[in-house]
Amino acid sequence: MLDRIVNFIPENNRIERIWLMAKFDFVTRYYGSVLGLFWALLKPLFQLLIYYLVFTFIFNNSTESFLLFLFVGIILFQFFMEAASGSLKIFKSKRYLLENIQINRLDIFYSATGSTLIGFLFNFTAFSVFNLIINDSFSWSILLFPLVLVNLLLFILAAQLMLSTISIYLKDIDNIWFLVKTLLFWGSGIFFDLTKLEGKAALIMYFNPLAGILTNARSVLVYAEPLDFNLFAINFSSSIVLLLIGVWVFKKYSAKALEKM
Amino acid sequence: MSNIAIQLKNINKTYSILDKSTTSLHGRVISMFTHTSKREIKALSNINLDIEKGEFFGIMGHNGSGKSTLLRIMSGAYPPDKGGEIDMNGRFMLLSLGLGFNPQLTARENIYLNASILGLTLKQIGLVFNDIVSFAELEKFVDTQVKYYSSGMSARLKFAIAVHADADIFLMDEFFGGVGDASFQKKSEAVFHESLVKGRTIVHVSHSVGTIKKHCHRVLLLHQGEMIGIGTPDEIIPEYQKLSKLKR
Repeated sequence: MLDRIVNFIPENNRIERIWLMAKFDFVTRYYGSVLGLFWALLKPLFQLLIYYLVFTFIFNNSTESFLLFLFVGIILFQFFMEAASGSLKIFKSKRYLLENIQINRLDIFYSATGSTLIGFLFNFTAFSVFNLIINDSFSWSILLFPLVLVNLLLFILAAQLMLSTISIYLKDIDNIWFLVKTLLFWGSGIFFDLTKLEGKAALIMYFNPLAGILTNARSVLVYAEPLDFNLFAINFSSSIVLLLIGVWVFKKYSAKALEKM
Repeated sequence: MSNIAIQLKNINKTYSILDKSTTSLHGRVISMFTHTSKREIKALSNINLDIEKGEFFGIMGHNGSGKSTLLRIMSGAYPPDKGGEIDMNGRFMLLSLGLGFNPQLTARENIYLNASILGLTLKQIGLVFNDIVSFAELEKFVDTQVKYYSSGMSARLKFAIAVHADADIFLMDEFFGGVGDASFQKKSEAVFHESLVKGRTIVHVSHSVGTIKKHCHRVLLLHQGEMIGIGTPDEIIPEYQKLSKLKR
């Protein structure tokens, strides 16, 4: 037990190393194109514009503050997708690190999540500017957002660990991932309000952590409301359970997975 | 403190190779009901080895003898079969052409990353950074992505990092042999001697009888995954040459 605690306390340069790996991963993703970061910002804005036009003028959407509602959905969903899709290739792209026993393999995943987080923070800044302009006031409920963000980070980490390992064992993971992606896209309430769903359909927020996270993020960021703590507690615990499963799967199969490549 | 830098106990390595058809979901399902053609290849058998601190240790053997697998097991890239134990007593760097760097990153970034893996803090890396660059003679290419480097440049950089970031153990896979120009080769040879004094441990996988003879204290000869013998270069090299003749 003591060993575990000691292991948990970082060695002198562990945090620095995670930061270095995250920074370099971020740099690599946007390397070679001056417009790299610009594209990363433009993508969600472009999606926002299209969805907004389609759902406002074609489907007559009546959701309150729909632009901000969509904005939160898009950037949080993109954050998750970028991290999850990247993890499908992590055994290839980070092989030189994963093969080095001197690095805790989990650190590579912390840094991968961190690197996507840097990208998200740029998008979040853009959102905050919109939010200030449109809402025209600052609400203290925003201070609860870090809780939701931590929940999302745990969920992302869990997804990354599971997907990366499975991707080595199943060569057709790309096709399976496409199905899951589509399901998540429609089942997470990016452009419709899940709380308005009638009856059992609204329960999806409790089963799909991403849907619950989006709902709670909107409450605190857009609508100046407190968190739905029941929803948060369930999403948070299911993310922890998924993370534990992810760590177990990864620890058990990752070493063998490296050989299979 | 123990005087052993690397200890290997009961190291066996079996690769199991699956048929291509069993790696898809469809194949997985089918294979639950049928016998798949899973082949096993024994790459290493019962390796027990102690390498002392400060030792220059050679590993010889023909292609497919398990030399590189053994080195990869030491570096932790592959796990040994159940029951095998590896004890690495110190920070190490794997010096192998084409491994260990991210080609997308610049030399500067790779230096920081590799030195950090060796346990240096950012502050400490800052202190040795210039030494690394000037030892590798890459002053003009510090901010060039490593993918544009020649294999000689990349080898020089790796070696410079290992030396100046104070790796205790160098795991070298055919690292010297046609790499770098004459002046660099000379430089690395000089470092070898100095490093022995400093107590660094070097594991050197090579085909080159010359280098083994010149530097190694002890040599391990591998053949088809088995230890044929350990001894001084004078004892082992004739054995190696005998195997070469048999092969022909």
